[in-house]
Amino acid sequence: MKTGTATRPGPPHTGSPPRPRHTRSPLSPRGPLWLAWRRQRTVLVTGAVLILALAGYLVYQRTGMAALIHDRGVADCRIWRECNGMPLDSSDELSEAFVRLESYRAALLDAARLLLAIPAVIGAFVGAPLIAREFESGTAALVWSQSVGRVRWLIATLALPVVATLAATSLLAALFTWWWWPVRGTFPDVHWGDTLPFDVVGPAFVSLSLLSLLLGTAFGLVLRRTLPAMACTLAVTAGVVYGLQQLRPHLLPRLTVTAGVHVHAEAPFGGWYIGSGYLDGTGARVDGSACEGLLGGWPAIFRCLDRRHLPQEYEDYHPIGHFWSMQWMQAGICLAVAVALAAFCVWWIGRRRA
Amino acid sequence: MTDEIDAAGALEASGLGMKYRRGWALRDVACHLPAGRICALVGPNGSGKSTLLSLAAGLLTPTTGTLRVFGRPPAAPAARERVAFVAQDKPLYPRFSVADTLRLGRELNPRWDQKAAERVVEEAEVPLSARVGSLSGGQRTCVALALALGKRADLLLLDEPMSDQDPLRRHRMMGVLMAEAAERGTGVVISTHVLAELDGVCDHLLLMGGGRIRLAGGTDEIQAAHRVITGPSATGGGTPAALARHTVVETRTTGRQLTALIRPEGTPAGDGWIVTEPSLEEVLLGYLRAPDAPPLLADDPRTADTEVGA
Repeated sequence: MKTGTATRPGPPHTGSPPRPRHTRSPLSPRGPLWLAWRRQRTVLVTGAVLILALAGYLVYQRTGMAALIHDRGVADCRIWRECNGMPLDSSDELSEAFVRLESYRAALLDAARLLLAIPAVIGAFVGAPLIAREFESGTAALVWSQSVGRVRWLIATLALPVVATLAATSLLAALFTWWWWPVRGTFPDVHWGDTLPFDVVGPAFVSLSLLSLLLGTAFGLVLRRTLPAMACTLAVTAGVVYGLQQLRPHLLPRLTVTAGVHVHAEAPFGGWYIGSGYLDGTGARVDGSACEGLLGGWPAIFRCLDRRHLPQEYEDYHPIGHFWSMQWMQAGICLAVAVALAAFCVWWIGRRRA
Repeated sequence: MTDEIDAAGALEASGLGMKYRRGWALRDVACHLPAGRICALVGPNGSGKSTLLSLAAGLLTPTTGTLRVFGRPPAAPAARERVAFVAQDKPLYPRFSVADTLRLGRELNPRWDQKAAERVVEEAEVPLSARVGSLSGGQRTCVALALALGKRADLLLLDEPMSDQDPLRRHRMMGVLMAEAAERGTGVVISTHVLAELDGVCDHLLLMGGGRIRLAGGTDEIQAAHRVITGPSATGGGTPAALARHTVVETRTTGRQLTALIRPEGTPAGDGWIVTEPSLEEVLLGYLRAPDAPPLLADDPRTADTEVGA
C-alpha cells in the first residue's frame, strides 16, 4: 500500500496515512448483505423504535390490568353478567372493578386494531419498495451488473426484513397474547376466533406479517413500480384477513351443545360461538327463525316453537381448547403461501430482465 | 491471462435479436470482438446500441440468437465477473456517499481493486465523503466509471459514458480509462454519438443502424476498405460508369463535381478521378448519411475471408 502510494503522482494523496478502510468488525455484514443493510437501515431502525414503543405500551397495559384483576379477585369473571356467583351490582367495589376492566377492554381492542394494521404496513412500506424502487431508480441495473448473482442478491435483500419481521412481530404477538390471555373469556363481545384478536395473537400474527411482506416483495418485483405494488399489497392483505376469517370456523370440526328450548343452550366458558338454531323431534336441524323476535316475548316464541314441534335448540362453538391448534393451522397456511411467494420471487428474478 | 478462453473473443454474437413490446430493437446481429480491443459503438438514437450493451451485460435475455462474452452466456457467474457495465443513465444510490458506493463495489465483486476505483474518483476531484445525490451529472458518471474500473473486469461496457462531461473532465476520464485498458489489456466497448471523442483511441468499430450492424471490424481494416473518389458528375444524373464496379456507399454532387464514398473492388482508378483514403469519421458520416448502404462486416466469419485481406 505504501509503495503504491509513493510511486503514484499527484500531491493530494501522496502524504496521506493509510486509512483503516479494510478493517471491520467480524459482526459487520458482508457482500450483498452489507448492501441490504446499508439500503434498509433507516427503515429498520425507525421500525425498531416504533415496535419497541408499542411493546412498552402493551407491557404497561397488561401489568395494570393484571394488578386490577388480582387485587379485586375478578379473574374468570364474565363482564356484564356475574362474578363468582355474585351479580355485578352486588357491591360497589365489584361494579367499580368492572368499570375499570371495561376501560381495559377498550384499550385491548384499540391495541388489537393497531396491531392488525402492522402486517399490511410491513407489506406495503417494507415489502413493496424493496425491489420496486430498484427498478424505478434504475439501480437494479447497477446491482445486477456486479459479480454477485441476482438470486443471491435477492436472498440477501429479503433476509433482513424477514428476520426483522419475525423478531418484531414475535415480540408484539407474545406481549399481546400475554395481555389478552387472562381475559380471553371475560368480554362476551370479544370472541377469540374473530379477526380481533385471533389474527394479532400467537403465530397467526407472525405468519400473517411474513405473508404480507412477501406479497409486497412479489408485487414490487412483478409490477416494478412502488405505488401500485403498495396498493395491491394493502388490498390483497385485507383480502387475506377476510378470507382467513371465513375459513377459520372450518379449520377444525365444531362442537355442539343442545338443550330444551326453555333451558337455552349455551357454549361453555371461553367457547367461540359459531351458530345456533332449533332441532325437531328427530334431532334434525330446522330453521326456526320465523319464531324469533315475535311480539309478546318469550311466551309467544315458545308457543310458536311448540306449534312447529321444535322442542330443542342447539349452539355450535369451538372450545377454547381449539385455540392453539387453529392458531398453528392458520400460521401453517400463511407460512406455506409466504414460502411459495419467496420461491416465486427467486424464479421470477432468474428470468433476467432489468 | 486466461488465453484459452480469450480465444473465444470478448464478445461473440450470432443471429442476435431483441424484441420489445413496441417492436424489434435488434435484428439478426452477428459480430465478433476480440479480447482487449477498444471498440467504438456508434449509431443514431434508437439504433440498438443500448440494447446490445444491456444484452452483453446480462441484463436482458435475447429474443433470438445467442450472445457470448468470453465464451459464456452473459448471465453466467464466470462471465459476469469479467464484464463491467455502466448504463446510460448511470444509476447509483443517491443517498450513498461516494465511499459507500465504492464499498458496494468491494462487497459485490471478488476481484475488486479499491485503489483503482479511488484513483478515478480522485482524478475527477470528487470527495469520497460526498453524497452521490449532491454530485453533478458529470461527477456521478465518474463515480459510476470508478465502480466499473474497480471491478477489474476484462471487458468494460460503457453506454455513452462521456455525454454529460465537460471537455476537460472528458479528456481526463478518457485518459484514465485508456491507461487502465492499456495497463491490463482490458477490452472496452464505448457507445457514443460523438465520433471525435474516440478519434485515435479506438481500434475497433461497430456502426449500428435500425437494429442491425452496418459496419464492423478493426478501424484500420475499415478505413483501408474505403476510398473517397472525386470526379465529374455524370450528365443527366445517375451513377457514373466509373463507379459501377464498386460498392457505392454514398454519393454527393456539388455543381459538376461528384464525391463518392466507395468500397473499391480492384483498383478504383479512372481518368479524371481523384482517389483518397478517407478518415474514419468520413467513413462513419458517409454511412450515417446513407442508411441504405450495404453493410460491411469485416469481423463476421461469413464475410471475413473476402474483406480482411484488404
